[in-house]
Amino acid sequence: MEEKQWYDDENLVTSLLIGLLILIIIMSQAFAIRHQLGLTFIVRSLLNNNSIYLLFLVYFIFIKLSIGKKNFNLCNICLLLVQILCVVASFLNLFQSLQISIIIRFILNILLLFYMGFSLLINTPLEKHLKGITNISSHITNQNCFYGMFALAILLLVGEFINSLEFDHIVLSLLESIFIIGVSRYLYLWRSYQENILLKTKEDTKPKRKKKKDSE
Amino acid sequence: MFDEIEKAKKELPNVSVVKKKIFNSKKQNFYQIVAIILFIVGSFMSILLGNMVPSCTDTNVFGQCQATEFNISLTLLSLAICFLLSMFFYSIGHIINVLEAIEHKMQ
Repeated sequence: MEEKQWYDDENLVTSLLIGLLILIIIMSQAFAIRHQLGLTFIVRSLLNNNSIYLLFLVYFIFIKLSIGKKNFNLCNICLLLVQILCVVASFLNLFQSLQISIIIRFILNILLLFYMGFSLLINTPLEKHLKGITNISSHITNQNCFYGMFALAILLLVGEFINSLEFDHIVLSLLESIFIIGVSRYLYLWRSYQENILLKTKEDTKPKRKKKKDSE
Repeated sequence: MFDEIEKAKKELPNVSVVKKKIFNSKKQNFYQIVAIILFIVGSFMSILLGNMVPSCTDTNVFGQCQATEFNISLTLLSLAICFLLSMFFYSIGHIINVLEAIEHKMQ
């Protein structure tokens, strides 16, 4: 039996994501205090970035608890709604200040939304109603989606480096890229888990059909 | 962890069932219609508010803002307020509906 790698362990991936999110929130607050920013600036600017991280943190903590496991599908829909808001925000950001990193972030948010829909809505009643997405995604494999997100996260990091080379900025954008890769890995693991279940059920039904045919 | 989730998770209701529940329910009264309109208008307004009051991402040496971005925290806050307000109106409408139903039964 093959040994499971650490990045294939969903429990470890979610725990690492929780740790990473806490680190991002604390680090951004610490940098704000180091720069002696005023309270209004912290509220207006830093909470702005951290609100999405906080929502993701709540989601990952929630799915670790039994109540979150019970309402997992509902949590996924809430996460999708948050991601839709992220896409709207990044689209409007294009008009606020047009930079290469903002364009990349907009593309990344759209693709992340599609990937979330592609992997989190699998085996749910909503999947059948979103036939458009499933038809497109039938040509794209789960692994390709993950590597695409990985490449975009690296591209975002490069774009952020082009924008500014301040220490705080580098650290936060590095953590953000790792977070995107982590979320993509989580989505990849959930999708492959569901695909395995589908394969198993197909394999289980095949011999039964064969037996029936033989008896006939 | 995924095994535990797969065992414990509740299935989502079918979209057709939800549609039936919404459209085949009793006629909504004034308060409930106001609540729905309030939520739709409020959600658009909160996105506009986030765009109109942007947050500063980069400042120069004099503390003046150089780059701004969409204020997502303000949008989330106003969305939450809007949701609570529309829920309040909707629940008032629901209470009125229930009271009317009781009155009909009494008569």
